[in-house]
Amino acid sequence: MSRIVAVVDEVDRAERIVAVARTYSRLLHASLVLLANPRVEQRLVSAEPAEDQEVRPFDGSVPSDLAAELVGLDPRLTVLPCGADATEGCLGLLGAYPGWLLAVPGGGVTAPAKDVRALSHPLRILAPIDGTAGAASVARAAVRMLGVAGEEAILLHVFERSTAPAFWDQSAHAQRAWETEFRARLWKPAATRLELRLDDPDRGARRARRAGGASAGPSALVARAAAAASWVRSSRPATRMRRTPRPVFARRTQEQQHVRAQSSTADACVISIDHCPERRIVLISMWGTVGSDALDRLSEAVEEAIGLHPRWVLIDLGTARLDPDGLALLHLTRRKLARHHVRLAVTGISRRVRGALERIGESPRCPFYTTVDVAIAAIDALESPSSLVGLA
Amino acid sequence: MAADLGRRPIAADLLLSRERLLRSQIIKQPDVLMLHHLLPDDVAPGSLEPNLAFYEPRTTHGSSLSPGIAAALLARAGRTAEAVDMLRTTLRIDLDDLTGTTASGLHFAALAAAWQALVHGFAGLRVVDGALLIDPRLPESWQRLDLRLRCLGRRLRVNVCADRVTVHTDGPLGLRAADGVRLIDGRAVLEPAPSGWKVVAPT
Repeated sequence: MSRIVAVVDEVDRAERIVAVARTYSRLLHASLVLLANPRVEQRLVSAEPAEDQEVRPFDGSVPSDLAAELVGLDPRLTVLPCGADATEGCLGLLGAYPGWLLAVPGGGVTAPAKDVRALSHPLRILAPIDGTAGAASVARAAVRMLGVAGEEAILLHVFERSTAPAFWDQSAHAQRAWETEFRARLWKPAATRLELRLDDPDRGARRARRAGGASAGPSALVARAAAAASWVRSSRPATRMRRTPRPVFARRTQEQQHVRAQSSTADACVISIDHCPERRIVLISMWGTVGSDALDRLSEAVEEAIGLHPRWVLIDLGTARLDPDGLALLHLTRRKLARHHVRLAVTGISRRVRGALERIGESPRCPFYTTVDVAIAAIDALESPSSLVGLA
Repeated sequence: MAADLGRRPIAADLLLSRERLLRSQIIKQPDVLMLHHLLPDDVAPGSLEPNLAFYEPRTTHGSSLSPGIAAALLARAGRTAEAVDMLRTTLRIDLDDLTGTTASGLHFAALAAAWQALVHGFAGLRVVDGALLIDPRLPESWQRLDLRLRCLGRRLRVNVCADRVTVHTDGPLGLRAADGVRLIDGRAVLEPAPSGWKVVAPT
C-alpha cells in the first residue's frame, strides 16, 4: 500500500495539515504517516487514532534532514505547510527532495473544509503548462498521481513573451490548429480541457482557478533559484506559495526547453515520458540531439519507465537528430530493458534515423507526433503484424 | 514601438489582447505598406521610404505573411540588410517551427511571400505597361541572385550581380530600361547608369 506523509511542525496548523493529508490518503487509498515535531506529537498520539495512520516523531531542523527521512519512507505524496514562515522550508525541501510535495497554505485560521469540498467528485485539477517538456511531465504526473484522468483535468496554458508563438494568423483557425498540435506534442488524455489564457501567468492562473473551481495547481518548480519556476518564470516561487489560497502540488523539474517539432538551434536533448497502465506501455519522447549528453536523462527516464512495470517501452525520436553515441545509448537501453523483460521499440521521422533504428530493435511506423494512443496502436501492430491498424 | 514588446516577430495580439492593441499604434501588418507592394505604381513617387520609416517600427510581424512582404519592401527601399533578416525569418517559418503548427503543414502563402521578396524585392522585377522592369537591390553579402520564372508568357532566367543583370528569354519580350522599352529575344545584359539600368547588349 502506498503512503502519504504529512509534516506537522506547529500545533496551530496541525489540524489543517492533518485534515488535508487524510483527505488525500482516502482519495489515493494510501496509508498516512504523520511526521510530527515532539511538541505536536504527544497531542496527535493522544487524539483518537485514525485507521491506517501512524505518528512518528521528527525533530529535523533543516530541509536535508526531512529529505533524508522522506527518501527512507518513499511516500507517494508529502503534505507540508507553506505560507508565512513555512514557505522557505518548503522551497528548501524542493531543492533537496525530488518527490511530490503538497504545499498547504495558511495556519490554523482557515478551515480545511474548502479544500475537502474541492476534492469531491468530479475531481478537477488545474495543470499549468508552458510548452516545455518539464512542465508537461510534471502536470501529467500530477494527474496520474491523483487518478483524475477519467474525470476532469484542466490544462492551463498562459501565453507570455517566452511562450507565445511568433505568428498567429487568422484567429478563426489559428487557435484550433495551434491547440491541436500543442496537445499532440505534450498531452492527450481525452478528458483534459485546454484553456488558453492571454494574460500574465499569475493573473491568468488565479482567474482560471476561480472559473474552473480547480482543486489544486501543480507548479513545475525548478530547484535552481536563478531559473525560477518553470511555467511562471516571471514570478518568484516563494511569493507565489505565500499567496496561494489553495494547496499547490510541486515537484522539482529541470527541463525548461520548449518542445518544438524541430529547430536548428535546439541541441539539448529533451525527454518526456507518458504511459498507459492498462496496456503496460510506456512512451518516451525525445527531441533535440540524442548523443552522449542525453545519457543521464535517458537513464532517468528508463528507470522511471521500469518502475511502471511495462511490457513495452516505445522511444519516439520524432525529428530528433541521432548521433553515433545516441545509437550506442539506445543499444544499452535495449539491453537494460531486456534484463527487466521489457521489449523496446524505437520510432522516428527522418529516413536516416529510421535506417539506424532498424539495427536497434522493432521499428514501427508512427505519425509526426507519437502519443500514448499512437504508441498502443504501434505496439499492437508489432505484436499482430496482420493487424490493419493504420499507421502513416 | 513593437520592439518594446519583445523580439519580433511576435504575436502581440496573444499577449496584449486585440482590444488593447486597437488602442495602440502597434500593428500586425500594415495595410499602407501592402498598398506599396501590390500597387507600387499607384502610390505617390518617393512615398515608400517615409511610410516604411513610420510603419515598420510599429509592426510586430505577427502574421506569417508579414515578414516576406516586409523583406520585399525593405529591399526596394535599399535597406537590404534588414530585408535579408526578414527574408530569413520567412524562409525558416516551417523549418524552425516558428508557428508551433508545423505538423499541420507548410505555410504556403508565406513561402509565396518569400518568392515575392526575391523576385519583386531583391531582383526588382515587375511588369509595367506590358514590359518587364528590372530594378535590383542586391545585398552586399550576396554575390549574385539567379531566378527562373515565367513572365509575360516567356520563360526567363535572370542573373543579378552588383554591376550587371543578365536576362535570358525563350522568345520576344519587352524590357523596360532607363532608356526606354527594348524588345529582346534570347540574351540581354543591363548595367547601371545614373538614370537607372540600361541595356548594353545586344546593342
